[in-house]
Amino acid sequence: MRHRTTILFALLGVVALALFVADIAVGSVNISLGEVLSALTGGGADATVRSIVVDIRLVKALMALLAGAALSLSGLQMQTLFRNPLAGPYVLGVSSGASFGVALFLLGAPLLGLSSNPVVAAIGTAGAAWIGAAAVLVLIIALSRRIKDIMVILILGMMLSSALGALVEILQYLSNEAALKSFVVWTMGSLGDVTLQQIAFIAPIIIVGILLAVLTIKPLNILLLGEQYAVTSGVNISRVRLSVFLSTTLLAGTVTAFCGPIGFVGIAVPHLARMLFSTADHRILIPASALLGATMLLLGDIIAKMLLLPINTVTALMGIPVVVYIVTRNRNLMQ
Amino acid sequence: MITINNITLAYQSKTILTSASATFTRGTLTALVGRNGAGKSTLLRAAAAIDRPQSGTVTVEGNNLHTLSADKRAELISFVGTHRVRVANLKCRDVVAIGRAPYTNWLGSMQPQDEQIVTDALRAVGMEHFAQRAIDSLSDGECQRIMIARALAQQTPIIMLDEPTAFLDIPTRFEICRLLAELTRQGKTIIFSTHDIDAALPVCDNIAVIENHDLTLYPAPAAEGVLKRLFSL
Repeated sequence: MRHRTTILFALLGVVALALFVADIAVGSVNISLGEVLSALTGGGADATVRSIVVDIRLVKALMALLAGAALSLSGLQMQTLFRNPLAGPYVLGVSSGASFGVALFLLGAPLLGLSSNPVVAAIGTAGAAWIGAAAVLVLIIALSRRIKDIMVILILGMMLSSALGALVEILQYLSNEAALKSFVVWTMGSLGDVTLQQIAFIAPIIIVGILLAVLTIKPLNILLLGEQYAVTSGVNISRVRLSVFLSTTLLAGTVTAFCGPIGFVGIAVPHLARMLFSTADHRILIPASALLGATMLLLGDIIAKMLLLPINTVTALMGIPVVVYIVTRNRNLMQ
Repeated sequence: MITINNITLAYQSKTILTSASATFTRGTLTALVGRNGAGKSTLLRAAAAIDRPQSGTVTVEGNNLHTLSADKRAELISFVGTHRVRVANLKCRDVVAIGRAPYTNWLGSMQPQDEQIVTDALRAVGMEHFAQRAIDSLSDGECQRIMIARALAQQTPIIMLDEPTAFLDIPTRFEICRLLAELTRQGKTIIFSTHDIDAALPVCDNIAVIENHDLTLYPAPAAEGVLKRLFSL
């Protein structure tokens, strides 16, 4: 069994690496693999090729790698905490909070004549999204300290999402065509709007989110049996909830802030990891989901580039069959 | 030994118990009975320190449970709930291994000694051949045995079970009650809530009855009359 797990991790690592290189090699400008490797290793590639490879494609591939791992890990934590196979990184309203922040920035600011305000402009789309996601987290943490039943928190998260969605719709209804288009484009998701400097900012935040997830491996394994068993097994539930909510916001909130809401990766990948490794043990599922998530988003980015589609469309088409399979396979959800 | 001292309990706005006290001595099997809604689960949850009582204390060997850390409590009391665990890809051995959580490191890594305790717990409930089976492929009775094995692996002097015979067929109900009686002979103090008087009465040392917001402990042979009145048999 351990042997099989090691082989699977090695295979996944090789596939992820191959897709990472392929993601850099594929694009609207034809660049040979030799030129790509030369540009990456600082060889004799010309300045334009190096700029395309390093400043655009490498950054995008790195973002796909980080975003895939981050969304999958937050989805895994949410599914275990809520004991719900259809929970995902956005179930607490992190995405809706980010969307509301962006809607306020792209749609609300022009309505109030604040677009040219230097403070508002300095926040930017990513800043607005992050503030929105963080505000939702603070609210959820405050509520979870008073609420014992985790299902109530799940329902409140969903209601909060719906309420924020309604507010976003009001802003959309009142906005002009240009502002509306900018917002709709943001909701389609994009891995290509980040810079190398931003990656240097995003990566440490995502690493902290991953470390928090790693530190909750043992309580997450116990939580598979439910909160009652966790409490009587010595788990401090409030501390674990706080850690999981914080990790999810750092992971999913940051990705959403810089790439827009990318759907289905966070729901589908943890299930793929469980099926592939035939385990529910988070000591395996956490690295497996991170690696599989990175692989899936790299593949999604390659397909999106080849078919000239938004990344969100591709991840939805890749993830929906997995979710449908889970629902139809789950005996508890079927007749 | 576990002692409930002047405990007052309520479920939402309904009073369950008022200043109730009882002592459960080491190596005894006690069935907790009462009408539906009497508060059996609420009492067990408070006695296992899952919930706090309105007032009063629960002490184990003189230690107030609610002032102990979660880790320390987990070394004294293990709990088996009514909820049926149905998790895909979760092997029975891994479920039982979760019982070792209070004693393992931050990652939950098992030492050879922990592995042996898990094997022994599976054997004690007659489920050693199910170790590699997924928990969601088991029958309710088999699943209940695995959850009892998990409680055994936790190596606590006290085990509490909330309706362990619910949803089981009649032969399995008797089997589970006999299994619990066997475990008390190994020194465990076991309290379980039940409606299965027929299966529980022959094997229990005591019957704890919740009635009129009060808790009364009867030696099992003397409880028959009380139970007949309580359930209008």
